[in-house]
Amino acid sequence: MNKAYYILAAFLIILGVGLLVLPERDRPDEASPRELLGDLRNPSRFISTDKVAEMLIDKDPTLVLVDVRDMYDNLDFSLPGAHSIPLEEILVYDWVDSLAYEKSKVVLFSNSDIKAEQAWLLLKRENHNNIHVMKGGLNCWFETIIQPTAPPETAANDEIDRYEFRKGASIYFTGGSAPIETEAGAEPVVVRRKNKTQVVEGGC
Amino acid sequence: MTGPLIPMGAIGQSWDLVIALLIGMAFGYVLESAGFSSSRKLAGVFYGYDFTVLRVFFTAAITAMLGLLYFGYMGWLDLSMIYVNETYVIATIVGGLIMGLGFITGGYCPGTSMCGVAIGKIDAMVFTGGMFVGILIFSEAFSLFEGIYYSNSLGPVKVYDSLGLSSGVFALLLIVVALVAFVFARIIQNKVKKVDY
Repeated sequence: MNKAYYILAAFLIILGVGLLVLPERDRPDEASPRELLGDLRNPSRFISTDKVAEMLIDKDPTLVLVDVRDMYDNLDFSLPGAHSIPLEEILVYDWVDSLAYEKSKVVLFSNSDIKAEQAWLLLKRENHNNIHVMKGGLNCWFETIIQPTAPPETAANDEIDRYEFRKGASIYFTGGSAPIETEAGAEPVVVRRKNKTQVVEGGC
Repeated sequence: MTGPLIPMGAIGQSWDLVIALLIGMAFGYVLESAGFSSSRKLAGVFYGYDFTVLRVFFTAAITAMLGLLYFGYMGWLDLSMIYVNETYVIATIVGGLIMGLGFITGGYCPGTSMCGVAIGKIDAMVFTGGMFVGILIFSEAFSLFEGIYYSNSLGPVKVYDSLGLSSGVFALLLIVVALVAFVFARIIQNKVKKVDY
């Protein structure tokens, strides 16, 4: 019989024995359901729109924004520097490792929380730990950063400071136009014109 | 995990048929190159003068099995996402008998008959014609066979699970069985009178 047959037979046996002697491999790249439940209960995955705005203004290099909406929604509007990875493609490529470093903060967002939460769950299942969700999504971004509502005059200083920050952020993100809003309960200012002083005409 | 490529979304589902066509063409080319478009060669396995079919298909099965198991072990392939056909016990036995009868009388299986047709073999054309008549009868009279067709469903079971073995032990056993079969096939082939075709 041909010598090659013996070599091939030996090769197959070695591969077969190899399957037996290989140690059981841990699968650290998948979170267990119990861990996942614990993470779901923990609200630390959320990051506020204020924090995102602050990081964007500070040009924080650790921030990696990911828009999980459809590509067309992303083309209509998105946050500055955001990467578009639609939810349907969230597991297609190992993009987390290519976009983010160990210390990076990957922040997922969609119009509301729903798609971003689904994407977070899928990525968490793959054991990515630096993934966050922008709380409230772009709807909240518009309400809080682009068109902030003024707090009442009796509000705490923190709240007023936050409002001042949001007004500044709004100017930053909308290209310099300050938001126009009326303060709650403030009376409209009535401009009273003074009667012009009659200039004495003529005379002697 | 990167595979399987289509269920994982690395390749869009709309490419299914294109990929199937390319794999089918490659498969047909290999079958024809191995001489499987000859009904005499295929029938040789039943008469004992040519066991090429046994060797080729058994080796292919073992190679695929080892590839899948090692890829799964390395984390390149999610084995849980591989589609496994459901097992219908009665239908499989009846279908196997009919297929075997067709194989030994016609000298072809469905794939190899297509290879024969592609190179213009008349017996392969007759076989393929018969196959399509069979498909037509089965389709038209499906309501009669439906009971048998769906009976004794075991779901997508795997042999090693039913035997209570690990996949590694089963793989090694199958390799040993294949090698023993190859040796016996060689012994039988040497004893049977050679047929020139």
